[in-house]
Amino acid sequence: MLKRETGKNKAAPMKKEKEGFLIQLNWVLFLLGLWQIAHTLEWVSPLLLPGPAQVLETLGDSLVRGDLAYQIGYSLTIIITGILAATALGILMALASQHSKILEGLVKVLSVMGHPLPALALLPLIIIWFGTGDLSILVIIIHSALWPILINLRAGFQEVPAIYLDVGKNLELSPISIAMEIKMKFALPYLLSGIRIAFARSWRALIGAEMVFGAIGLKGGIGWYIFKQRTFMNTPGLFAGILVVILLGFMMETLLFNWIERKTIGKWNPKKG
Amino acid sequence: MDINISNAIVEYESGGDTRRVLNGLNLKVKSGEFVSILGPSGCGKTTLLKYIGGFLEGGRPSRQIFMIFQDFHQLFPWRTLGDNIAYAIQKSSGKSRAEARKQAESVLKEVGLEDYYDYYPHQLSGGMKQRGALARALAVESRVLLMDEPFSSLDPESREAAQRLLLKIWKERGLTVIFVTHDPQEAAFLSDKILYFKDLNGEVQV
Repeated sequence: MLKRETGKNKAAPMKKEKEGFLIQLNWVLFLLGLWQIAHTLEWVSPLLLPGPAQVLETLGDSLVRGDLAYQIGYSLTIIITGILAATALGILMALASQHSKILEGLVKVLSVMGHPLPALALLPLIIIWFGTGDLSILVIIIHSALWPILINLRAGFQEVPAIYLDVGKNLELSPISIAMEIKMKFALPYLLSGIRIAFARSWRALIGAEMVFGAIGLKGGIGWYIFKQRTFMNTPGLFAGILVVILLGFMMETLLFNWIERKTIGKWNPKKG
Repeated sequence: MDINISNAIVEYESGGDTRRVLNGLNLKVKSGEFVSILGPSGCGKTTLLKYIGGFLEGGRPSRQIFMIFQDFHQLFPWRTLGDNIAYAIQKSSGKSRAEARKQAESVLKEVGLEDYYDYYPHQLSGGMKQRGALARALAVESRVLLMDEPFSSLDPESREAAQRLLLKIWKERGLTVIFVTHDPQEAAFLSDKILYFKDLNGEVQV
């Protein structure tokens, strides 16, 4: 009986979600249509505004014959590496700030300084310190990702209800067990939304940095792909690159993170499921 | 396990005001007794339980004396009911996962929740959650239960079921129970001895 009840509660929002999705899909189709019309009627010079078909063709061509697939792989690999490193670092710093007042002070000072500082403002310094290789890009991603992760996780730790901590003490859990079993698990939803914000921030920083740095690695990333198209006045290529950035960003932010949330906190937190 | 409290003093400070909640309180509860503590709300009943349990500053709670709170949300929401209990067993006895699971199943049977091992707390009713919390205390083999109005937010039917269950377990296991309530009927139904808290000074009448 209980199971059916939870099922019933879930059914209504899902129907609404589907309706919302259809509306949004229609808008996407409408905008695509408008784009096609603007192109066909030449509201703007075709040189500046290529048609959707042309963009898709260029996109396919770049994927199959060009370096775009490699460049997407490069950008994704480096952003995932950076976010994993930032997550590990953020967890360590948040736990350290729980451990002692002195460390908490340090973490607070660092977050206040680091959080409002856009990675691009650090770019020249990073180039002087680390050159223009993978390491610099990683530093930029970690800087963009670390602060939102750290700040969210710390907010989660603050919100741990006293009753769970009391139960933990009553079970005679060690401080490490209390941190891992109670604080970390309670704060997991906060951590995940921190990583979500971290992804959005570092994705923007990554594309920007790739343009400034030029071809890092063998053939550079997506940012470099877009930048290169301008040099050749290849507007379909430019649009193709922008499309890739939108699609990848959407896939990571919406599909991947929703999936992770469903698989973890969705099970015990019906509001997130 | 006997509980002996002598000259307990607890003060809270708020905005420069010092409020003395327990004022030199003496309390003796013999092993195996079921004592209810009755009194108007805000008279320090919860503080007394927290004092006994070692939850106040300077205290150290132990598994021997387990607190069951009024709040339904005391099971960890990220673990299933069974896992909540198995985790407590693993941490308290160092048993293997499989052994802990087996023991958790038998404790759940004792409180009548054997069919709900894999349910998350949010899928359970208030009464079930409180029975789950009780099961966790049994699982770590506590000798003393401190119960802070654990059934006061339940509907009458589940409250009565929970009371009967508690009495049965108390007798079978020979536990010591200190039960806080504001309901004289509940206190009379459950306990050998009723302590009445008159006012904020923590004066006790038997």
